[in-house]
Amino acid sequence: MKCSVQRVTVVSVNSSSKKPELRPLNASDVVVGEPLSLSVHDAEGHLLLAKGSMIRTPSQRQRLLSRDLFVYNLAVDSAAAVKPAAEGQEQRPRRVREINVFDWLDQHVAQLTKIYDDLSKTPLPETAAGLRRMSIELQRLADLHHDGLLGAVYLNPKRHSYAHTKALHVALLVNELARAQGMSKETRWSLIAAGLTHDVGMWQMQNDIQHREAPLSDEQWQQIRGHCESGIRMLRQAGVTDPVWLTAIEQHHERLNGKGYPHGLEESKITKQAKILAIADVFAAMVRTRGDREKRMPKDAMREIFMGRGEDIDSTLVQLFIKKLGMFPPGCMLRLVTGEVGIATGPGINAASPDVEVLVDRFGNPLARPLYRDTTSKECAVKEFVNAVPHPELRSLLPGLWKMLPAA
Amino acid sequence: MSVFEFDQSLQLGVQAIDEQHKRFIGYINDAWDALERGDDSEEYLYILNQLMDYAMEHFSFEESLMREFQYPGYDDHKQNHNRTAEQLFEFDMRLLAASPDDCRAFVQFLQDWLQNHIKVVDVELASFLKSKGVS
Repeated sequence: MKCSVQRVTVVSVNSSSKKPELRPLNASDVVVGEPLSLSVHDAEGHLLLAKGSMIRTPSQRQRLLSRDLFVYNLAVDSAAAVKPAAEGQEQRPRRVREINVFDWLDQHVAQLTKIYDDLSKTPLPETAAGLRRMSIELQRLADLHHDGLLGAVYLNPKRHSYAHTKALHVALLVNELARAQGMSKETRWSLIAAGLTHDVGMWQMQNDIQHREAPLSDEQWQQIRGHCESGIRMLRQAGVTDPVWLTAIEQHHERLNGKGYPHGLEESKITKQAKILAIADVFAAMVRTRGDREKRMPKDAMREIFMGRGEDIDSTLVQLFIKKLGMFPPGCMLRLVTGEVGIATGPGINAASPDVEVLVDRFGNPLARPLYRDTTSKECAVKEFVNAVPHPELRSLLPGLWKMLPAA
Repeated sequence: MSVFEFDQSLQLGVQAIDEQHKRFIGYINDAWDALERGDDSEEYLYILNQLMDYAMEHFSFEESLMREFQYPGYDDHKQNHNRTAEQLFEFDMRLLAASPDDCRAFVQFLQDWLQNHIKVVDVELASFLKSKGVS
């Protein structure tokens, strides 16, 4: 089966008068968990992997090094090289204690559980400070480990509660959208904090109805309609005064056509941050199962969001959202045309071709370890979404799909 | 080689819309060129994805103009965009199987749709916008 690294485009013409020279790819050029500092070419100089492509797993690194691949000498390729690898220097062993993305999820769900409990009972200034710290930390980690964190909250193998995982999902999505919009770190901190607490006004009810199929009672409807305002009341009691954070929560159910709640604001009165929070909230809700409805596949959720463009959700943000997240966000299960089933681990080269690690072979047998597939190749293209991990024992392979994070 | 020409019959006289249609047609021609050259599937997939992205962008752009000028035909026009967007989302899945025939069908679908949409639907929008002083 040919599922190799693919040629993706033609090498750009080098304007330098100096003739570019290829040299073999060294072990020191490829570091797991870091973007490539040089573009990788075949012997004829065709670009195979662009500079900046992330090397996610040791097996991916090994695969690259086992081929006859080349890079242009630094003098030619280094004009914009971010971080040239030092010759002969192997990856340094890290002393920092590391955890996998699912441990990260467990820890953050536990932290949020405590914070939500505190906010519901006796909100203290420490609660607000804890949320602020969590947002800063999340932004720092998400900028480096975006795919892994998204994958963990999407897969949620331990079935943590709806409210807590959705809050983390929304926090990651708003960070990415705000970054793509060029918003400052400070604004992103506020927006992440808003993502973590956007439904704090009704989190117990959300978890209660997670497995219940009965229609909502009048009281529950009232709680839903009031959750933006009750949420910011709780946060204010804990001493939160940040207007970006509070306004984003207050307005995240306002809609461009003025048909949202609680105030039915018109488009010009809704802040950009609230519009970002709105789209992330809608998406994260749609891809989760709730008692009264099945979860949707990411692509169907995106289609639905797209259909609401300009009426419910800001059109520009919808575009950006689809571009940034791709059709196959990290964590979704996919069947390839080979018949194999795997998990999308990152966006890959374009929206339609995610990086996939296969866990089940074409006969339906679980694999002993994940196998990387390049889905830009015709032989390994994505065929369809699959609903759940087909073999529960494969859960033990999930932590190896994304790189480790430094423990907090 | 341009398969799809932006000629007089497609010119609506509203510069911003004409420019977008020209770009749209440019992307369609890029896709035809890639198919004609027999590019590898990943190369034309990239071009087709760009084309699909641009289609979505174009819909959003026209709709924002309609809202700005309170175009009375907004709902119908948007419905028309929505039907096409539904089809585009469906098409994308089939593209992933990377069959050149499916790709040709996709580009042909978009070309036919755009030609018809400009001449039948966008022409009314353009005449409305011109009556509001937009050129």
